[in-house]
Amino acid sequence: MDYKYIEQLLERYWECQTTLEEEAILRKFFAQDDLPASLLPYRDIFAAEAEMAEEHLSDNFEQQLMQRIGARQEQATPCRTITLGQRLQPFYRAAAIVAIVLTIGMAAQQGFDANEQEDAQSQLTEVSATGDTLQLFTDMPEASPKAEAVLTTSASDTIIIQ
Amino acid sequence: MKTLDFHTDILPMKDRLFRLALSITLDRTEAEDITQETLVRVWERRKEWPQIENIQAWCMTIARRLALDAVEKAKIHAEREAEVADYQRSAISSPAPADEALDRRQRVEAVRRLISQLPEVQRTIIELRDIEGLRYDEIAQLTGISETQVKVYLHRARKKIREQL
Repeated sequence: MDYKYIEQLLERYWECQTTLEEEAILRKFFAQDDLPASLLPYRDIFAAEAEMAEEHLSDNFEQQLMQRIGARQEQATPCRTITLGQRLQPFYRAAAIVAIVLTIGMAAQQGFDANEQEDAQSQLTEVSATGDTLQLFTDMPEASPKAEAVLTTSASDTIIIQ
Repeated sequence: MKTLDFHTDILPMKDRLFRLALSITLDRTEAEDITQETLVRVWERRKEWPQIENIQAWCMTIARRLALDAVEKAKIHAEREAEVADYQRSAISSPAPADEALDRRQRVEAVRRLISQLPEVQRTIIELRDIEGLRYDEIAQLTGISETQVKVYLHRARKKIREQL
């Protein structure tokens, strides 16, 4: 049997130039019992590595691991009993906040409306007052001749009395 | 995007993670603890899974870091160096007997011992390439060194094993 291909592969293996597939061929080859004397020393390397590849964890490893993970999970999310009232507490809080906001809003709106009304009334009063004043001022020239007339009349009466 | 599941996508990596931890710590109990810690951490960081490109490389990186930390903490490294020195001295003073004097089992054990006595980075690369069958780019990503450097370390490791045979 020609072992030239294997010898070539082996040379490339020492130089780290083999692919994973070629290394698998070498492993398969050296797993055989019938090997030429020239290649026998290398069989032990592949046999040792094959043995190392069979190393595995103890049988109860997975069980222990899952127990530990389970304990961590419980630790992370501690179980506690809560009443319906406690469960609904966030909703109560939200409702209370909404009620407060609405109350404040409505109160503010009313205050705003009252202010607006007051402003409107005071504006009207000012306008009427201004109108009266204006009226007063506009009446003044008319009142003046009347007063004069009265005075005149009074004077004339006085004269008449005299 | 594929949704990953702990039982079907992560848990099957457990032996692979264990072997990587074992190749670094050389201690089965320690390696088992590291594998468990790795998987717990991976599970705790499950929200990050969708963003991770190569989940296997990510898990192995966590395992490797934990294993290296464990070695550092326990000062196993110092003890191991002493063992290596002892082994090298004994190898020089009393050369290994000829192959024919050893049965196959002993020779395989000797190779395993040789691998375990390689420097950590060479041992890890042997583990990732020759045992787990990872690509060079995956090993480079996992170990944080370049592909060229990965090949350099692998070449040195294989050469050392070959020379010791």
